[in-house]
Amino acid sequence: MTALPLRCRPAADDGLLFVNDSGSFFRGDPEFASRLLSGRLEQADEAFLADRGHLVDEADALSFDAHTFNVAERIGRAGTLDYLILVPTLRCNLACTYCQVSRVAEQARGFDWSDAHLAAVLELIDTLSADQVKIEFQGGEPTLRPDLIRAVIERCERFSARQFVICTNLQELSPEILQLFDRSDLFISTSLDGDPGTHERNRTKGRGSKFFANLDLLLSRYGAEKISALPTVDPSSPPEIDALIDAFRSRGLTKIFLRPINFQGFARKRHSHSREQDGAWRSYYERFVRRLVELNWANQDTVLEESYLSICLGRVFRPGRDRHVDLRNPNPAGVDYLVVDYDGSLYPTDEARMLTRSGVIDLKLGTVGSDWKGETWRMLNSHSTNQFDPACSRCAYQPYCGRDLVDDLSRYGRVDMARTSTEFCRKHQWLFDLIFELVYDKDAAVQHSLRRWLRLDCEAALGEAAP
Amino acid sequence: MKIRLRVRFAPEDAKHAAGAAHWCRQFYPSVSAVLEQDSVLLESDAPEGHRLAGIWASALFNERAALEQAAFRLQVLDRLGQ
Repeated sequence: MTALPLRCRPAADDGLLFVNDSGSFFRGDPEFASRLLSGRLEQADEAFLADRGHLVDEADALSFDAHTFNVAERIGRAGTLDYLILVPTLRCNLACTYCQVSRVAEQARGFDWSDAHLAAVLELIDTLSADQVKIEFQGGEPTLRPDLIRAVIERCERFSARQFVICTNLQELSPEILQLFDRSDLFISTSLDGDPGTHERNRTKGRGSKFFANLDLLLSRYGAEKISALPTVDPSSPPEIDALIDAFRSRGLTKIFLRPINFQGFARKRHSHSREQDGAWRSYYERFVRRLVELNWANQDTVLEESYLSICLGRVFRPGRDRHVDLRNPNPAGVDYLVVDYDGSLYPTDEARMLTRSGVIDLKLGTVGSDWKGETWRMLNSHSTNQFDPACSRCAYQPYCGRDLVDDLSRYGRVDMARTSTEFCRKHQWLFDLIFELVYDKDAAVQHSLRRWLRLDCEAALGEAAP
Repeated sequence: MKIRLRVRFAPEDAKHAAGAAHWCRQFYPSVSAVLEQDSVLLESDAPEGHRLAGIWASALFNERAALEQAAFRLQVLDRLGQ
C-alpha cells in the first residue's frame, strides 16, 4: 500500500488535523501521528486510512485515479470572460475617509465614460462568448449615470442568464433609478456600517437619515433578497457587536460580510494601521462569529452568517467553488472577469484599479477595445497559483486557500514576500484554524450554524477522527 | 511564561529535521526551534507554547509531505503523459 501525502496542522488542543492534497481531512491524536510518521500503523489505522483513500494499493489504478481526480477538482478552472465590473463614473456624492478608490467630487468634470468609452464597452459585451453574464456597476457612485447603466443592461438582452449588481451609497433614489432597480435581474449592493450613529460618522456626515430612509424604502419595496449590505469596520474602534448585528437583523438582512478597512485608496494614508490586522481584530471577528452561532441557535427560523467565513467553509467542503475572486487557486488575472474604469482603462481586479489610482503600481492591462493580454497580464498570470510555493507546499490548508497578488502588491509592493510573512497567509491560517475548531466542536449550536451555513440538511458529523 | 520542550527525533526523520525547524519558525514566529544532534529544542512564550509538540510533529509531517508531494506530482505528470 502507498500512503498518499498528508499535511498536518496542530489544533488548539493536543489533536492534529491531517489533510491530503484533495482537501480530504480528519483528526488524529499525537500517538496516531507518531505511528503514521514512523510507518508503524496498526490494523485499525490502515483500515481507516484505506477506507478514506489515504492508503492506495499500487495495483489499484481506479483508487489512484480517483485521488488524482479529486486533486484536480481542487484546482480552479477559470472559464471564459463573463463577469465585468464597470465604473461608468468616478464621481461620488459622499467623501468617506476610507474610500478605496480615491473618488472625485460630484461636480468634477472628465471622470465619466465618454461616448467612445460606452461604445467600446458595448462592443466588448458583444464579443462575450458565454451565454450568461454578470455585470457589477461600481464607482464612484454609478447611479449618478443611470443612462450609462441602462445602455449596458439593454445591450445584454441576448444572454440567456443575466445578473446586474449596482453598488450604491443610496444617497439619492430618483424615479429613474427606481425603474432600473425594479428589474428582477438587478441586485443592489450597499454599505451599512452599523447603527445610524456609526454609519453617519463613517460615511454620510449629516445625511445619514436619508440613507436609512432609502434603504428601508428599498427593503419594503423588494425584500431583503435583492439587497446586500456590507459593513466596513475600523479595527481600531469596531462597533459593539450586537449593535452591528441588530442593524442588519432588524432589516431582515442575514448576511454580514465583516470587512476591516481595505488598505486601498484614501485608506492608505488616513487609516495606515489597516495594512496589517492584529490579534484584537481576530478576537473581535471570532466573538462576532460566536455571537452569530448563539443567535442562530436561539432563533432557528433565521440564519445569520458572516459571508467570508461561509466562503472559506465552502472552500473546505465544496470543491469547485471558484467564483469568489479573492480566494481561489489559481487566481488568474484578466481571464474570466475584468474591470473597465471610468476612463476606459482595463484592470484585472477592482483592487488593481485602486492601486493604480493610488500611484502604487500601474496594473492597467490595456484600454477597452484593445487586446489586454500583454506583458502585465502575462506577468500576473505567471504568479497566480499557490501550488509550487515552498510555504504553501508545507501548509495543510493549501487545497482550500488561494493567491491574491494584488493584495500582496498593495501591502508590501511586491509579490515575492515569504508567504508566511503576508497578511493574506496569516489571516487564512487563522481563519481555517477557526473553521476546523468549529467543525470539531461538539456543541449542538455550533454544528447547527455550520450546517445552515453550508446549506446542509443532514445531521452527519462534518469531521472524522482517526482511531 | 516561556515554555520549553525538547523532542528527540527518530533517525529516519533526521533528514527532515532542518527543514522542519526552519518552517516551524516561519509558520510560528513566536516559536524558537534549535536543532541539536538528534533532537530539537522548542521554546515559546506565546499561546503556541502549549502546543509545541503538535507544532513540531506537524512541521516534520509537512516537510516530508512537501517532498512526497513533489514526487507524486511527477508521477501524475508521467501518468498524464506530460
